[in-house]
Amino acid sequence: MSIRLSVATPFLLLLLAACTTAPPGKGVPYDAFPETRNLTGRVLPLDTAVFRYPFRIRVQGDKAVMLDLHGTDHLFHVFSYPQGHYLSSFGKRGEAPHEMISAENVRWKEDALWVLDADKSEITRLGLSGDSLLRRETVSLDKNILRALDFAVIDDTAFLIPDYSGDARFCQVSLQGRLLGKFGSIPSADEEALRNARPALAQAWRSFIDYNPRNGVLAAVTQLGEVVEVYNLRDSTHVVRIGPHGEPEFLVSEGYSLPMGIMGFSDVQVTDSAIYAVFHGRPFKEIAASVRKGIKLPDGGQYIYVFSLDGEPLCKYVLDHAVYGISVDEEKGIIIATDVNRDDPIIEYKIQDLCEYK
Amino acid sequence: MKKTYFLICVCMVCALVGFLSLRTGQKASDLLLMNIEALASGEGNISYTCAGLGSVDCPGTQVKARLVAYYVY
Repeated sequence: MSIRLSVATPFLLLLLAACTTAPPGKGVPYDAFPETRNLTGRVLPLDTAVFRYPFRIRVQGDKAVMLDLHGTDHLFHVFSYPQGHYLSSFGKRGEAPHEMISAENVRWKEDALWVLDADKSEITRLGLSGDSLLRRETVSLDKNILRALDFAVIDDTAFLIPDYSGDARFCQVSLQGRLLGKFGSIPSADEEALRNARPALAQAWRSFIDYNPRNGVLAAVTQLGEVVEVYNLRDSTHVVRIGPHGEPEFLVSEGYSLPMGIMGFSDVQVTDSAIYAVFHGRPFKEIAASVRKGIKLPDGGQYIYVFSLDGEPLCKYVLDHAVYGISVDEEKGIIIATDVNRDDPIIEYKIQDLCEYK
Repeated sequence: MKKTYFLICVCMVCALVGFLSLRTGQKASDLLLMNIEALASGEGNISYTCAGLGSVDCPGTQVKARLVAYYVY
């Protein structure tokens, strides 16, 4: 018996050692969605093709505004929806006053349109005048806000901007551009990076955000990895969900973050009943290999993940196009998406029933 | 009885091989970590290049690229 024990004990110890796993992240993991639905899109014909990289689309009433991330002359174009007739362009590219160096996002707020220029550190409000949009005011952001890469307008009182410094998760900014305060923290399990490389960590955790004033829910999704954060600003709850691809992976070089791992999310929208997020899931290694071989991989995500307003996975849409930005209208049952790989870049998906708890 | 001991020995060898391979993986991981720390402290070198049109920020520039390709040396 003693011989058997002496043989078995080291064996069991070795077995336990082999079972040791990496420490879990700070969020609640999710593995799979309870339901998968395939969607086939309809390409919306446009009467002009002026886009280089249609990154965002926002629809309000009969007008659709497209943000062209790499536009040469103008960064925004307005179309009639659903007819697809070109109406006007704005956001002239340049460094002169009233011109824009870059554009990160665009948001309707009633009849006004807000646009963010990270390189000028400005948020501009435009108003509709017929089919054109005219500049109404430009807000210069506080110098203490480091590179604003997305924004949301919170209840007519403030902007929320992801904190790129790594000190916190969000900056709260007055509508006049003054930094009011910061809150939250990057929910990373990488204690070493949290201690010694916060700016690089914040760059790697660059997130796209959306806020719905009707339910007070703010969602943030990471561009790298697969992390979804849900903040309920009414009851101050915060949920972090981490998908199978985990936290953003990165390498630090001279204080900068170099992306590793996978391309994660590219857009998010909080509706009245759910959170919709475009997910890519393509490893950078695969993209690099395709570039080396001269193979053109489609750019974008073929998945739209749907989460409940408290962060539970509800369903996964599998698309027939790789898309970047989305505009979800649950009442009409339509998701409009942008496809950067096509000359006709607007794709319309019809959703029959909304994804719900089973 | 001999057969039982033979089986236990085979299991132990398999477990030992698995354990050692894990340790090897750990070494590689540690090495990478050291490398990253060295880079962060300026002791190492890394070169990178940004390729294609995309939405990923190219470090230290105003360019958005599809890919940031890097090489550690």
